[in-house]
Amino acid sequence: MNVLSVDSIKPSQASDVSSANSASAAQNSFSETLGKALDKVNESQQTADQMVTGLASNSSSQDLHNVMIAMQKANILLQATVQVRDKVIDAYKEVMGMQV
Amino acid sequence: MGMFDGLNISASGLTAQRFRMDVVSSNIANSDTTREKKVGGQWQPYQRKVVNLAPVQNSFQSVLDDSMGSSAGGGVQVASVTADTTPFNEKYDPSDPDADKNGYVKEPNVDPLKEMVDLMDANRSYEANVTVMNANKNMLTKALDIGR
Repeated sequence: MNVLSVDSIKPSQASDVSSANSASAAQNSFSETLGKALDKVNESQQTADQMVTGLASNSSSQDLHNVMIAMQKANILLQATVQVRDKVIDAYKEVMGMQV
Repeated sequence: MGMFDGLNISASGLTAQRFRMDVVSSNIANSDTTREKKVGGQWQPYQRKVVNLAPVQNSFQSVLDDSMGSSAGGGVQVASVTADTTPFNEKYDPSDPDADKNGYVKEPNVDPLKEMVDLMDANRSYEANVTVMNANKNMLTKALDIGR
C-alpha cells in the first residue's frame, strides 16, 4: 500500500488562479458539486420509490431483490448525505464560536 | 469503479439464480408434459431445459480492463437456455392418445432427482449472493462511520 506524502495533496486548481477568482470559482464548484450529489441522492430515492410502486402494482416485472437493493443503495446514499451535513454544520458552529 | 459495483455484481448473481430457479420450476411442472411440439405429425414430449451462465462483458471498457488484468468483473448473466438432449423415457401405455403403434408413450427426460439438486444449488447460490451483498453493504456503512 502506498502512503502519499502530504506535499502531493493539493487543493485542485488552487495554484494558477488569483485569490479573488479562486474564491468565487471554488464557491461555485462546491455548491455545484453539492447540488449534483444531492440530485444523485434524490434520484436514487425516486428510483427506489418507483421500483416499489412497480412491484406493488405489478405493472413492471420487477424482481424483489432488485427493489431491495435499490432501497439499500438509496439508504446508504442518504446516510452519506447526513454525514456530510453533520460535518458542514460542525464547521459552521466552529466558525461561529470563534473568538474575535 | 463505482461505489455500488459490488452490489450490482451481487444483484446480477441474484437475478441469474432466480432465473435458474424459474427454469427448475418449469422442468418440474412439465415433468409429465407429453406435448411440447409437433415433429413430423408426432407430438414430442417436453425436453428438460438447462441454463448456461456467462460473465458479463458488455462494454469495451470492461473487455479492456479484463485483458489488462485490472478488473473485478462485471457480474453474471444468462447466456442461453438449451434443451437437454438425453433420450426420452418410454412408458408402455397403449391407452394414451400419444402412444405410438407399439403402445409406448415418450415421457419427458426430466429427472426429479437432478431437478431437486439443481433447486438446492440455485437456492444456496442465491443465499451466498445475499451474504456477499450484506457484507458489501456493511463495508459501505462502516465507511460512513469513519471519524464519527
